Amino acid sequence: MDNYIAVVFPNDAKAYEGLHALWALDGKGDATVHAAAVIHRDQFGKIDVATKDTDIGVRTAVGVGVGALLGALAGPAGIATGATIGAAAGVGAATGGVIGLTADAVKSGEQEEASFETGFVLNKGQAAVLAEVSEDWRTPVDTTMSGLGGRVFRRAKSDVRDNALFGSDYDYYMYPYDYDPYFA
Amino acid sequence: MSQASVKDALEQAREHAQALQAKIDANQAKDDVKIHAELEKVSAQAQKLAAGLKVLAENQRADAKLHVQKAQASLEDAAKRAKDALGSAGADLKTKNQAVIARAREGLTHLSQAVAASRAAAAKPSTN
Repeated sequence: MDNYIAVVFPNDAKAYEGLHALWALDGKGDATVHAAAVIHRDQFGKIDVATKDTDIGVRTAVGVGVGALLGALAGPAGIATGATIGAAAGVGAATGGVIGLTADAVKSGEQEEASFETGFVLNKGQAAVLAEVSEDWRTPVDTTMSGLGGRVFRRAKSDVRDNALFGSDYDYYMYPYDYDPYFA
Repeated sequence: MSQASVKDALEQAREHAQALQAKIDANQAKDDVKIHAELEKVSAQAQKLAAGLKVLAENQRADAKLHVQKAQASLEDAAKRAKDALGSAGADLKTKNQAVIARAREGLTHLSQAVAASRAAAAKPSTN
């Protein structure tokens, strides 16, 4: 099954471990990771994407593409209450509005929009691994990540109407290989 | 060729594509001279990888085969674009380099999907 996942960790260091552990699962054939990135929410509520240290100055704050992915993971209830995208994602009111709309637009039917909620929230000081994965079963990812103190949230890729709406910055931020994350 | 060795070859091809992508990504922040030098190597490596995929595709199941063929086409195009970009400079070079990155990434995405399809097929109980 093809899924978007977010694994929330208490801090950056644990998220880095989580990223490497996820790619290690790929190496063993327990899951196929198509792309992944580490994000964190700082004490002011702003969300950043970790870059490779060779990319310093090239990649910056979360854009609409990754914001839409966050929206797809957070679900409509979070958007409606403002508990996730605008506030928890910490991307600012104007940008948060755009991301909320984009996230809404990428969801499949109305019924599903009403019922879907993963509960994914990224609080201040927390970090998360975002990834696009193919999994034949969930246990390897769930067990490995919980062993590192991470909590896994999933959204089936088939639930997302059009991931092209994630935009070009999705490819820009989500690395298709393991890397050493770095926050500028 | 055994099923295991086919799978290994596919996974190895993906690893090579990941290494190539990491190299191309790192090329973004460099100056024109360094980008030119890297693009020559990238073009050769992408072409070599694509040629390997053409052979590899023949040994794949239908679902994985389609992805491998698409990966081959994307990498061939990336190789061609990398070669064409050698005659450019400045902003034009950066733009063309971005196109190389995008096409190589597309190829890698298809290879990852081929690996996922191959692994999913291997995980299913045999009906024989």
